[in-house]
Amino acid sequence: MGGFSKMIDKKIKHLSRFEVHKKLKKWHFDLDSTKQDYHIVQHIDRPAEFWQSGIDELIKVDPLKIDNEWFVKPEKGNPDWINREDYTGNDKDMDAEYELYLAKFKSSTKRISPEDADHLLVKYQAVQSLHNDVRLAGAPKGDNWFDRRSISHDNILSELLHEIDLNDIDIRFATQNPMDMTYRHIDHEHSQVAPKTRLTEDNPQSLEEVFSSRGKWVKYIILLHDLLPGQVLYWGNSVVKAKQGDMFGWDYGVPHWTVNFSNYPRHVALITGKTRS
Amino acid sequence: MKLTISVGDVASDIVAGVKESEQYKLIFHSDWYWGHSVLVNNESVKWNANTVFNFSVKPQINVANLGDRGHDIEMEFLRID
Repeated sequence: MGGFSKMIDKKIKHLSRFEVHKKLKKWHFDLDSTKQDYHIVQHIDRPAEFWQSGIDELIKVDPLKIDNEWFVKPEKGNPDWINREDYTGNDKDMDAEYELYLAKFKSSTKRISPEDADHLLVKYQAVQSLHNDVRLAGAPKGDNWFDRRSISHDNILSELLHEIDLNDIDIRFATQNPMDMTYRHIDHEHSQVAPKTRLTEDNPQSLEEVFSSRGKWVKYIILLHDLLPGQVLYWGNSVVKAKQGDMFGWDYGVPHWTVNFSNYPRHVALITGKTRS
Repeated sequence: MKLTISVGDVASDIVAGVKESEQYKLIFHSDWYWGHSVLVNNESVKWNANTVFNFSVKPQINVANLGDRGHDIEMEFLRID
């Protein structure tokens, strides 16, 4: 390991994913870049009635419950517990969270070697880096960014799965309500949607690899309707300009954030999967 | 009116209460950073420190700071009488 990797090794529990990606130059991180930081993958051409029927069916589905305890900023001891200068914080709380994760894993597999435990720690810390960013931003308790829904095969929107040229597709729907926002973050597509399952399958060989693309895993977003005035999606340096039925993607590591200033909910489909070629 | 938009702040039509006039200025005192979103009359804008926008009609301004604690949005809205 080089000097930087050692630094990560020492501090990774407290690192911001955004800052790690920045230091590893996983994206251009150039404030002056005029490059468009997203691309339209394809347009799914369906009549307006298809999309409206899909949305009508979708909003009748109960939103998924999510484990967002990691949004909670601990109040005991040090309320300002993440210092943005070096991103170090409260070891006790971080360690307790890891032990909890490990205990859950042990209970599911019954046997775990010390080597596996070390490997799990590294993978856990990769997920933890995203949580650290949210904590660093001071996001309030219970802030879930948007409602998430999954659908059954009898929902009209399940037809979208036949249009997408990916393997191992997972599709979820995100409804961002008025004045809700998604804090700036960077996805690790290989651990999206079902991170605990995918983490057990993923075997990075170095800490740098933990923060690197797995190549075939991608994430796409489909707009279920034209964006209304005030519905904003920022991808890197770009504001997304897309219309109903457009599916857009982005290079690994592009930070993104969204906000809905309009008076209407904003509906999209979130796709993860593996490219075939 | 000077405004500091810190991380986690999101607000719409922030100058709605400003008195009517024939000219207004919006001046930014900090640089745009990843996580910042400012809409002026429903158009996303980007800026650097000292960027000035002039208006003959009071604009609708929506703001959100979704970045990090080290990067506030510092801005000033002026009514020119």
